[in-house]
Amino acid sequence: MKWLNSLIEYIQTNRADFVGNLSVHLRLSIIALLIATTIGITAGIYAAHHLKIGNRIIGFFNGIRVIPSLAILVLVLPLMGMGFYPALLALTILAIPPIMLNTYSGLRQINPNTLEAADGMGMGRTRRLYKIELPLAASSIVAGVRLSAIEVISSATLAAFIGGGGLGTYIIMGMSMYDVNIMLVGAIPVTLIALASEIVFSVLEFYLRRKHGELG
Amino acid sequence: MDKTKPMIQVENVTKKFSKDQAPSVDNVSFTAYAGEFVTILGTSGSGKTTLMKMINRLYEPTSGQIFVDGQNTHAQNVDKLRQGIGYVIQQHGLFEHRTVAQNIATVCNILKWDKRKTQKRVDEMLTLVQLEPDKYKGRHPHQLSGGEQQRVGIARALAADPKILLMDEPFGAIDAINRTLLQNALLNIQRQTQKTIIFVTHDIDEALKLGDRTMLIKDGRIQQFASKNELFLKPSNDFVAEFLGVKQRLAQWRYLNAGALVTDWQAAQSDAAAAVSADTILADVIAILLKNPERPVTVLDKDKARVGHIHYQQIANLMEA
Repeated sequence: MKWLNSLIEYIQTNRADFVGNLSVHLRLSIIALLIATTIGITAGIYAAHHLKIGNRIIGFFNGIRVIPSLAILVLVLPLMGMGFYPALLALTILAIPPIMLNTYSGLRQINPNTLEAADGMGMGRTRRLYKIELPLAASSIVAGVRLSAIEVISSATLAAFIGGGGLGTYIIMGMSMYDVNIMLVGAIPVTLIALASEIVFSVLEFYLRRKHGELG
Repeated sequence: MDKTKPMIQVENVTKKFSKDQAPSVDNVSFTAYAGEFVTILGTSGSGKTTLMKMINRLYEPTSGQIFVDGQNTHAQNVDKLRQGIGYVIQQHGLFEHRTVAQNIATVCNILKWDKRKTQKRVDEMLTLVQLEPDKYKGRHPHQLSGGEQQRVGIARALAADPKILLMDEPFGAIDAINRTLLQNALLNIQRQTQKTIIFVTHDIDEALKLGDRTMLIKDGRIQQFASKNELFLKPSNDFVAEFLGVKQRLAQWRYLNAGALVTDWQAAQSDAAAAVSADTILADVIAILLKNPERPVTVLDKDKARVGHIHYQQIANLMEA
């Protein structure tokens, strides 16, 4: 465990620097995820309710999915230059498709009988959306957010390449200095954050699925 | 409840889903009276469900008008209209993420009822559909059997005390034994609450058992709308006769009521002994006649004010017809 000791030592001696990078990484991830969740859910609802245009929106976002994350990060460079905000934009674009697609499919998977019953009781469109459709699609939406979160947290590492900062800084630094320990200072916290987010969202998803009787 | 007060009036209603196709419902008019149990019977594609769904405007008529409780449905706010009409569908359509109590309270909550009133109502409704409130209130739909789910569906439709109940093949996916139980429960509920019920089904047995009157529909047109006795004794056309099997003895014996065969009623004497009630099925009357063919069977009318007789010869004539 020699490497672990030297890792902790490095963090302790560069404490302010580490906390700064960690906070940039978290801020990038959380803000990108929040914006993407808002846009993704809204677009998903729109697509599910307007099937003709919806199919095109779905196609467009599926297209975005194909672009590698590093490519998106680099593509915003000529538009916005280097720094935090270009990285934020790139990560947001990256995070929208899974949330949007899962919102769409979650809404489309709702039993038509359930919706007919809601209509037949005079719920009205808005109430139906908030009281019936979104709660029933919630587990699927959460699954989308879970996927996006992982994507964003890991891709935020690459933000360092376009001057966005974050824990990726240590990986680039470690690579240029041929120092694995410095690389681990970036890699291990990113792994832990990714695992933590995965666990939190998985538990939430499990709870929702069980509540709706999707699990035995 | 005044059974002569029109509750649902359908006037010359036509529904076309596309311009080039034959109409699904073709110039249909009928009236259902307050407290009446109407069954709409037909094969799939006959237009029976389309006709029913125009009453709560899930479909809009291409032409024609529908009045509910005297009001033109087209002039009303569609959500308001539906909140005043109970709706039960096949496969229950319960909200999986909500408890039984929350499901039943749906319309009460939309109408912003007082919490306590709603809770009390939920208990009453569960009792009405013969589910123990304390046992079922907190459960989720997936924890219930098919029959229980459908009972909750009925409770939910009745919760806000609508005057009308629309039911779209509600027992279609239920096994035979539970279906019979549910049918009996529904008849009981109807007697207690005096709702006007429109009940769509493709099951002849169910339609004739439940309906005060049954509407037989084919190709979007009403073939006949009458009580089961009238359907059997005076079918309006060959389709009706064929569909119901009015010439088949077993069908006749099962569905025709004793009261329908009595030709002259008389005021009842005090000693109305050895009498069968007017809604006794013909098979039971025949069983009595066979034991003693010489003696006509005495039939006592529902309100016990009149008596009549069925003679052996009448049955024989019916067989030859």
